[in-house]
Amino acid sequence: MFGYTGKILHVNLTDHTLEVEEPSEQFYRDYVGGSLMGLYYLWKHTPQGVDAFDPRNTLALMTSAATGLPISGQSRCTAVCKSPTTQGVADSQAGGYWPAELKFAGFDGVVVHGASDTPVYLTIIEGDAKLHAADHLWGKTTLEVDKILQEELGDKKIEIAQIGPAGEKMARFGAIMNMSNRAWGRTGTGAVMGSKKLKAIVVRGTTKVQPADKKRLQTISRMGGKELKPSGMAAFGKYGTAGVVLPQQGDGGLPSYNWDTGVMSLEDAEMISGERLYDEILGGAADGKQKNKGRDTCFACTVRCKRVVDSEWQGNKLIPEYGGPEYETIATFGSYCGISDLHAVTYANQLCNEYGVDTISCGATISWAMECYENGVITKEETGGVELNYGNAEAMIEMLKMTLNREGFGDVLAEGSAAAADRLGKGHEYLLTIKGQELPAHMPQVKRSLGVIYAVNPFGADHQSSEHDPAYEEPYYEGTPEWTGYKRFLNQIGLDKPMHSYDLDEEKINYALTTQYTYSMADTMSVCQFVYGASWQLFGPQSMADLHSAATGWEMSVDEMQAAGRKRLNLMRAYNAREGLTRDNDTLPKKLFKKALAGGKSDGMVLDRAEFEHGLDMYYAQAGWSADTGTPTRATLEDCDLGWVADDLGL
Amino acid sequence: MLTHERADRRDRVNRSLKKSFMKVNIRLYGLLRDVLPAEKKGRDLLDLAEGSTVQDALCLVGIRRPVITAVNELHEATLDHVLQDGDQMVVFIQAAGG
Ligand code: SF4
Repeated sequence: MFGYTGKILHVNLTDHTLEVEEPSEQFYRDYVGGSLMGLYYLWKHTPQGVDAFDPRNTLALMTSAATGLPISGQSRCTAVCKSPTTQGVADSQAGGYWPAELKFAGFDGVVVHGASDTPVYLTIIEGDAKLHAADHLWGKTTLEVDKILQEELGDKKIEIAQIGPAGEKMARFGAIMNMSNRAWGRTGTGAVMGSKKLKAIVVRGTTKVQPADKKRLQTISRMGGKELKPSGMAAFGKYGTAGVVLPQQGDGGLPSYNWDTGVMSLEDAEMISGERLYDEILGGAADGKQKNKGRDTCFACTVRCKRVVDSEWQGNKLIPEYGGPEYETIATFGSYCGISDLHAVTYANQLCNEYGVDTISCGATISWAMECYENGVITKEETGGVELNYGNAEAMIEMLKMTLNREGFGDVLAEGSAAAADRLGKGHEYLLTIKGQELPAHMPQVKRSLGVIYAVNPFGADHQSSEHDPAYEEPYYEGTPEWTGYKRFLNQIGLDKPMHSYDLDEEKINYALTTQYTYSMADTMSVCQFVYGASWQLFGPQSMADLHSAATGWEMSVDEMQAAGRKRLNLMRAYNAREGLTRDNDTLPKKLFKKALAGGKSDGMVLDRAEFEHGLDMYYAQAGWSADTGTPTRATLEDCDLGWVADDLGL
Repeated sequence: MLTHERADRRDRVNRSLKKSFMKVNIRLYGLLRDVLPAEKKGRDLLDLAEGSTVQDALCLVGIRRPVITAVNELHEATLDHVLQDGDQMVVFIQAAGG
């Protein structure tokens, strides 16, 4: 086989045994890699109905055929397990160098079974895997662990995936981190790793990944080089995802004050913008050398969208190794909380990376607490004297520290906002959660199909699971004579009827579902969704299929690629059905239907429940899922070559 | 818009510059900042003929892709919105995801 290493490492932490599986070529053809392959192991090895923190929960970390090849956007890895947040599937992606290094070390994936009695860490070095005691690492923050392990193993080139103290304490939004700044952030995979007492997975290797067709790979790569500037991806690399703050403000889609409004004041939005981050906080900002000192990348990626900061907040150094905040982090700790102090937001990002938590859920939990506090639902006595008003950056940082250490009121917040509301018996009206997980920072009020995707997505609301509505709007779809519109890629997957972001009809649902399959394939091929996608990215669907073909030598068409994305989505959805989730769990927060947004372009906007429910009906019909239960039908599963799943479900 | 229409409009802007002027503050974000010299950081004071529109201002700075514009507190000003002396015009690029 080309591309793949052909090996999966199974680690049993209960009895500390290791086993190398060499799956058949057919298995690789059928399950491709990444999320889809991880889901297969989750289904087969985790008994139905077990708790996410039960040792029988299976945690899989999976790459794919292209991972480790010298082309932009291929170094990604998916973590899959049962989620402690959603009680359905947990699924999260991270980039960096770890995914490529795992391949160089000789494995396509790692499947973790059981749980250890004492803390351990795993090394996979040049094809050789070993478990080690990790008592000395337990309680340590991410950068501390990076340094200790580099010294202990005598190699600065090792790559480390690890949990921080939050994951050890099983905070439900605990993340798995690598490079101390890249996160498998969402759905609580770090908490599950913590429940297994697995502190870290260290990888190091020098065996290069062999593609089937080097020339074809080079052709795709060269095309990417040429497109970097015209596609707008060079600017994306310059400002990072933080560059999205002001476009969101302009669109009335910057969630602010716990989603009471889609705008801040223009001055406040400018204060937390990617442009300001670039001008003032990135490394090299003082002498205009951000390009070299203020940006970082993932293995072999020319986009270089990652931030490296060099500044301070109230005497606290903003440490370059902890990276800089992404758009999502700026929104949750910034606009959600009404905070315009970008240095404080950057410090919050640093603390989250140090302790290993999902910045989206963590920041959104604090903004929920702020709305409760503003409305007298949570008192100063309960917060231990912290005045949790909107805009209070000091209070935000203080409450974040308490949350990360599970101290005082922070112990309540470490459960996430939905569980915190249950525990306190109040504040439910201010929740912004679906399936127990906090919403990311894109607003369904201004992106109607995204609302449907938030509701139906198997691992909770996700902004990286479909193309957002504006890409299908006429001017952006069409482009201008000087600027290529998004139709160049959307047409490759049959989307050619543009419409407004606020429309929600059969065609818009078709757009959402079709692009959902593309994104789903990106997570299966384990590629970065900023580089490969359906509209604004560097490479479109055809290049994605070409990449997989060049890596494996197995020719894949765009239709086949879409079908593999569909297969992964249906397997996730079937898993949720197996664990008892139904259509009833496919909701949006009540607040979005009740409270009209105030100010900006989205002033007065509120979602209409009838329109939303109709959207769901159209979605289930097009997806081939039961309108009553939201479960894929037997015919759909069989069409996805998942007849065995229909058998298991007794459909 | 067709290229020749844009050229016509640019000519009109240039011709009218000889007539009476007004000043409009413009703020550009993201990759749009690069149409101005780097030290301006996306901010400029434009000299425009009276009666100029949002579209005229965009032409003058050389923005040729779809954008979202806002003038003063008015959100989403249309391209034919007529600018006034002292206006603040903000230009956002649309972001589809991220
Ligand atoms: S675009 Fe950014 S996140 Fe994606 S691979 Fe490149 S550097 Fe990493």
